[in-house]
Amino acid sequence: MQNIGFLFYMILAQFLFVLLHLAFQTCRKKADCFDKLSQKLSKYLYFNGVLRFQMEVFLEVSIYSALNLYVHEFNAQLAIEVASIVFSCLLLVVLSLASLYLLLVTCARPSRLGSEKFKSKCGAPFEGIDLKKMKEANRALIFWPAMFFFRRAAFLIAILVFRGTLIAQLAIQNFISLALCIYLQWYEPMDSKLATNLETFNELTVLIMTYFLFCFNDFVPDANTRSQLGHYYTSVTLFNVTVHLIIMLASSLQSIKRAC
Amino acid sequence: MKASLNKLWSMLNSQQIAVYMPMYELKFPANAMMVTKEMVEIANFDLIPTDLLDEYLWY
Repeated sequence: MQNIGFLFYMILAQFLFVLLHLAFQTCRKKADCFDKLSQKLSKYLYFNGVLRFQMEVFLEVSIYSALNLYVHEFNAQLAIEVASIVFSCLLLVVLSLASLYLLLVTCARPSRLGSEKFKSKCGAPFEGIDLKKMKEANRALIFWPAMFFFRRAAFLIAILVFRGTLIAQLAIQNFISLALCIYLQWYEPMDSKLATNLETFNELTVLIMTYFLFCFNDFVPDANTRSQLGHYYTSVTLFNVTVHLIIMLASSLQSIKRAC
Repeated sequence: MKASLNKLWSMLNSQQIAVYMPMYELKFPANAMMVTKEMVEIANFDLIPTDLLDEYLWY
């Protein structure tokens, strides 16, 4: 548990917020401030805040939990080891079930995705998607949030199950990025052309980085060549970050200009 | 603000995939590993050092 670092304390903080909300709920009739605090916390927690938190920590928590279970023996004697195994199991189960439940609920009734009530409650996985297109019965839009979780689960399976088969690992990574590039440009699920192109740019970056990964093994025996390729690999990563930072800065400045 | 946050999440989501690529069975060059090591902390929100807290809690 200590390997997760600051993330462990963020997870604890989420539970603390839930307990605080329950405490404020019971005391809300005693004072107005408790009622207001309860409403604020409820607005954050249920469920957009929790969903966004779950999405962002999904990969790291799943990897650490799965690796912990992969490495540990299940007949551990020490209390801390048992607690660690239990905590890992709990986290994996909660993350998987929550994601599956969300996806099943949205697949069952896609028509309500466009409603303001849904967006304010559970809209976090669908942020950036043009939900009005759902009215045209375009269920393919659900593919994007589903792939968010699926690609992370596939990554986990690739590094644990296909441990000795590098080509399978790279093929899974390559295929998913390629499929997402095609999906984004074919269906254009985002609410603006810029958002669609930005997501495609992200997927292309991951795809290009995967192509570099094909060279970081014995197929390229010379370490100097691998080192040079490492420089280009790093440049691709940093270029992606730079483009995002520039676009964020530009859109913030535009918002400020419009507000003034 | 919301639009900028969307772009921030978008960047972080792609970086989360990128920083875990060294977990494959690969011979990563040291220069790429060095940069990835720094990016891991940002992508995983591990920005605040928790060594003192960990010492009190776990040891």
